[in-house]
Amino acid sequence: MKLAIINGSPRGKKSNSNRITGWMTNVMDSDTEVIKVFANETSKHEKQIEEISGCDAYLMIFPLYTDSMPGITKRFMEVMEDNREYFNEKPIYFIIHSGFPESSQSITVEGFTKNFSSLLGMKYYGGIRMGGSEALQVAPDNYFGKKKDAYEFIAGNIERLEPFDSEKTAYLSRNRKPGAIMRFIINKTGLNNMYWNNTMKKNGVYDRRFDQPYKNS
Amino acid sequence: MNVLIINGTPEKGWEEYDKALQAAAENLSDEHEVSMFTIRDMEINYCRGCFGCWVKTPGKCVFRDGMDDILSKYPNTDFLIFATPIKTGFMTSLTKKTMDRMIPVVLPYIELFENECHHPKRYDNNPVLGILVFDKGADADSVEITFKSIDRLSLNFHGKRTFRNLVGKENIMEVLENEISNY
Repeated sequence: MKLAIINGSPRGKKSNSNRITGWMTNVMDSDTEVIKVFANETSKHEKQIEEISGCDAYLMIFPLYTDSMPGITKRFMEVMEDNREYFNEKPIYFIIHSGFPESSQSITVEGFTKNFSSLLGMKYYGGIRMGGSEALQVAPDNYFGKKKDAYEFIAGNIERLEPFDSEKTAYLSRNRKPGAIMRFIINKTGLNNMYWNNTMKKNGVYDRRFDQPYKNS
Repeated sequence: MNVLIINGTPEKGWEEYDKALQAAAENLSDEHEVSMFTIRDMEINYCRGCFGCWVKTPGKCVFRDGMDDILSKYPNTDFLIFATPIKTGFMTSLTKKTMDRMIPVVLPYIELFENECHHPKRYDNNPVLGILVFDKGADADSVEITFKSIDRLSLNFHGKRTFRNLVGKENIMEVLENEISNY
């Protein structure tokens, strides 16, 4: 089978999205042909659509940006619609991930992905919405043990052209509202902001962290 | 009132709505400070997700482009309004790419609002967030999803409140005036 992976991350090859799909393609059968396209190459969208036109299934992955899909992803989807005859009746899968820990913040855009699939006459074969993805920038693979296993499992669903497994979907999409300990850390200690503060210190701009460069300009 | 309008209308097929929006903005500017930006005529890069606006040059994107003009209006804005047709089930990519580039107005930090993680604001204002969705060819599901995403954005941008309207070219002016008279 021939699978198109549409990477909708503005960070492209260096993205968390690419790391997740890497876990999936690593365990795929050698007969599975994967074509990866990166939506951050915005000048190539029309050409990329041609490249993926004959695929058997489509996996689209993107991070939550200002409460929906990134602008580059939306642009890519618009070009897909302009060429909808390529995609009619084809299965499509989605993975949406957010830096925010709560996967519930992606519910609205998940609704969009279902609507988009039906607008294009595609078969919606499932979607993951995962919170807390910014850890993917720093943490090693073993930190994601069970999640990585689940992604490897659903890679098999795609290869068999069947909908995502409902148990794995529920596991990967589970909502993690900040509990009592997390609320304490966030409200009272600010420890959760250490990563940002350290990065700004390293860049020598910590004392400018509250700058308002456009004020009275 | 300071009113900032992001016009995400594409090049072709929306001329009548575009004209009606221009007329509405001009009419409003008799009484208010109105800045309208027509994104298709501007050079605005897509966000590349580098977080430079948070950790390298706090509050400022690495790109020098039309966003500087838009963001320089933001700290005094009372109304931040997006105007867009529905395309491929949602607001246009012109609208969305502009929205992405607005993250310098919040801080990288996480705080809890209504027991949900959000970013604190960088500037002092809490603009009313509004969206005007053009009615031509707009199906109910796509409109509702676009409306909801503005409610979500308002949480993250600390909006004073939101308004969301499906507008025809005949009533854009009336709808805008009503919303802005109700601060």
